[in-house]
Amino acid sequence: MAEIIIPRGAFELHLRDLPPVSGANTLKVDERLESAMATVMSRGDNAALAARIHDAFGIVLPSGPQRVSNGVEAFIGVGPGVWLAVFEKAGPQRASKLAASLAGLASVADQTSAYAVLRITGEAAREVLSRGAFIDFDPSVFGPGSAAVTTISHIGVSIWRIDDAPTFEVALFRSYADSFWHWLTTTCTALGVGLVRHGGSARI
Amino acid sequence: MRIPCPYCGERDGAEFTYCGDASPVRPAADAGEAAFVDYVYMRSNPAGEISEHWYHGQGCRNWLIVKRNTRTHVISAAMLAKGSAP
Repeated sequence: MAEIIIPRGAFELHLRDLPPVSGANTLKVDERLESAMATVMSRGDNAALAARIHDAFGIVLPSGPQRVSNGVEAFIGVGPGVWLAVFEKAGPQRASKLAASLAGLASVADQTSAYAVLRITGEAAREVLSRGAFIDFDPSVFGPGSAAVTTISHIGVSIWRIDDAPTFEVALFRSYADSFWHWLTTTCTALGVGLVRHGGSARI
Repeated sequence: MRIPCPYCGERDGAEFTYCGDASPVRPAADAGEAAFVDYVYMRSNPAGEISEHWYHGQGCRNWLIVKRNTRTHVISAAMLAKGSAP
């Protein structure tokens, strides 16, 4: 019987088909596969929750739509009293460990296999994303550390900006990956922007 | 139409769901049938500023109270419904 290989990455089958593109007007894209994610919902005492998170991670929990990172862990504000926690190179038990450490202060739900996260880097990133999300991506408004929950092409997305490259990450429910990819490639084609894979080698 | 969400900032109206007049206050459980008919069905349809419930389902997933003028559609305020009186 033939072995069936299902890639872990929701975008893998698209990323591996990216043609080699040269030229200045390109976007680097890749999927974030080595992170664990969880939603953290405060049970009411936001100050105590912020203090516990500061003790554990050295992170000042944002009260608005921002991303605060210590380089390994990041907390992203997605609503009043609700955050998305993202852990780099974390094992499958990370969310339950977080739940235990925030017991009584927050409800924690593992989202690691629910979301696909696409990292998008390049000069054209802002223009491409602006074609999809009706929010202001001007650096004066949406600089590094900014975050937003909105829609692109009717698909619910969480977007945050990492750095000045500029690098953005877009998180969406992974079953929408094909639809999002369709929007991304169509928009890039319309703008004359090429896509290249950031990481290079295929990972399954 | 743009709605100034108090958490997310100004957003397109397509991210929100309209959920009607925010001013009716639920009567006490023993207030009687007539009071509940008023609460459920009767609306005053004013020309001017009214309070409405909007749900920001494609953003912060919170209920808002939005003050909107029915003559001009100018939105003068928006607040989280949680903890706010209409």
